[in-house]
Amino acid sequence: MTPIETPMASYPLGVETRSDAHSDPHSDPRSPPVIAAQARVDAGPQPLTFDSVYHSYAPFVWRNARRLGVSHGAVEDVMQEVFLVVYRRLPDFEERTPLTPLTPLTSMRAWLSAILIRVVRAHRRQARRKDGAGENVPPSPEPDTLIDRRSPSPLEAAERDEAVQELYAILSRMNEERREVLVLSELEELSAPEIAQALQVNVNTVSWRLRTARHEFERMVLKRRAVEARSAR
Amino acid sequence: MSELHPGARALIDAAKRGEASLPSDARARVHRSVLRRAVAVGAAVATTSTASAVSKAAALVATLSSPFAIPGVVSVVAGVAFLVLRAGSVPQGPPRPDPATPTHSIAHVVRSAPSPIPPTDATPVPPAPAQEPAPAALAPPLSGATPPSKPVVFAARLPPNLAAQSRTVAAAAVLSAGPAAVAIEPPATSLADEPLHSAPAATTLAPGLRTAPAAADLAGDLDRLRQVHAALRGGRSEAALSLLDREGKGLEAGPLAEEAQGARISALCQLGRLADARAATARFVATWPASPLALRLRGGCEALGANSKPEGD
Repeated sequence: MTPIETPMASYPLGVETRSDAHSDPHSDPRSPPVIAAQARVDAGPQPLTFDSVYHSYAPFVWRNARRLGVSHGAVEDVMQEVFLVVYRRLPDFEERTPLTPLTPLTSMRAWLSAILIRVVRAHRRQARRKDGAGENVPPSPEPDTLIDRRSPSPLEAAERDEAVQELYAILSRMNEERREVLVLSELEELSAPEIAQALQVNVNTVSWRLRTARHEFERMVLKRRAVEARSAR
Repeated sequence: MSELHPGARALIDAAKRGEASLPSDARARVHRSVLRRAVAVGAAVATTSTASAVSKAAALVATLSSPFAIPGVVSVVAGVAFLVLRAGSVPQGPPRPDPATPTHSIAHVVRSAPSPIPPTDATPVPPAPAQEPAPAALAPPLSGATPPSKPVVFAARLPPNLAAQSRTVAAAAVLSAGPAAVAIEPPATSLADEPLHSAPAATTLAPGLRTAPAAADLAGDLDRLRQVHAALRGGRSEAALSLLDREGKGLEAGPLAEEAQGARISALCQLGRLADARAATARFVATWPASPLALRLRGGCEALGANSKPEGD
């Protein structure tokens, strides 16, 4: 085997399907994740290739880039950067991850989150420099690009639109560190150790940061509710 | 287990149901761009590790890809490969009925393009949970186009009697990066750090090239060409030549004819069959006078070899 043709080593994707099903709420409902995962396990170890990772996790990276404040116009650039790192580091990732049934799911999402967080932070720094603006330029939520336009009924669609816009508006106003931890925890439901890995801080820091993030988020939600109630009167 | 206030939790749940999902065109576009950039870096690394030669090799890949970058063909390959991969990865994601299954070999071509970078990068991956933040170590992953620290010099693997021809072999290594780049992206003007959203969507397919058989043929050609390049890269010029002879009809009459002819000339040069190489070059130049590859071939075997002088030479 020549060095240049070194394939991405074999690695079971295991129950990764769960993350994809979770990650893509618009995916085909005919694919029960657990059954698919079981089928995958039965089929034996599958090679973990860049393409398999890309196609399993592109939606994960995309939506979290948006949640972390990357604008619609820049999200594909950010995805490119993330997956270039994935392309280069995938063999390393495999080497350092033990082959247990559950680690692929957890560590892959934590690993991708770690890359994404770094890329987004760098992107934000770069954007700040370009703008020549102050430190806290809130990212624009760009409502039209955030919402799934395939919602079933007009009423439901309107409610969802509102929720999506509100969530992104709040996220965009949060402190960067707290936004990151909130997105990974409350929206992606990563575990504390996974978040610690993604943010490269210890678990205690994650717990503390998450507490303050939840508090900040709740406060902002309640504030908006109060404003709505006042304007409705 | 969330400890969020129910109102806040409800907002998150409602928003998650309404969030837009990744558009499929963006998914395909980013995939192509990542592979193209990765291949550009991989090709450069494959040739030599000196900075000047890296840029030279990247430029060569660009010029190699442009002459036969028939946008439709390329888009078909990239697009169908994408579809096949999705169809082939049903257990990882929701099953999507896809008629593109007959073109499985395309996925193989793209997946197995000679591009993966040797996993010898000295910079660390994101640390394990127990590790402390290491700002200096965080920088490398952000620069996606940084060449790995350990170069691959093909000439080093050559038998001694072929040492004199090492330059040609290295040139063949560069040539071998051609099809990979081609398979991934239409005319590449700048292979590094091109902002994705400024690139054309590349989703328009040329009429007549939309059919799976056409794409399958091209995939087969790419696969065969890859084998030829692998043989050239390994110093097995005879094998490369016999492969070309065996597959000649399909390969040298198809959309990758230019590449195949280029590979043949490289093989002839490697074998020292200079007269044959000259004759083949003359045919090449007559057929594709405007090809950037022709410009290089006009200089003969020497010029071909000089394109990619191995490091330390």
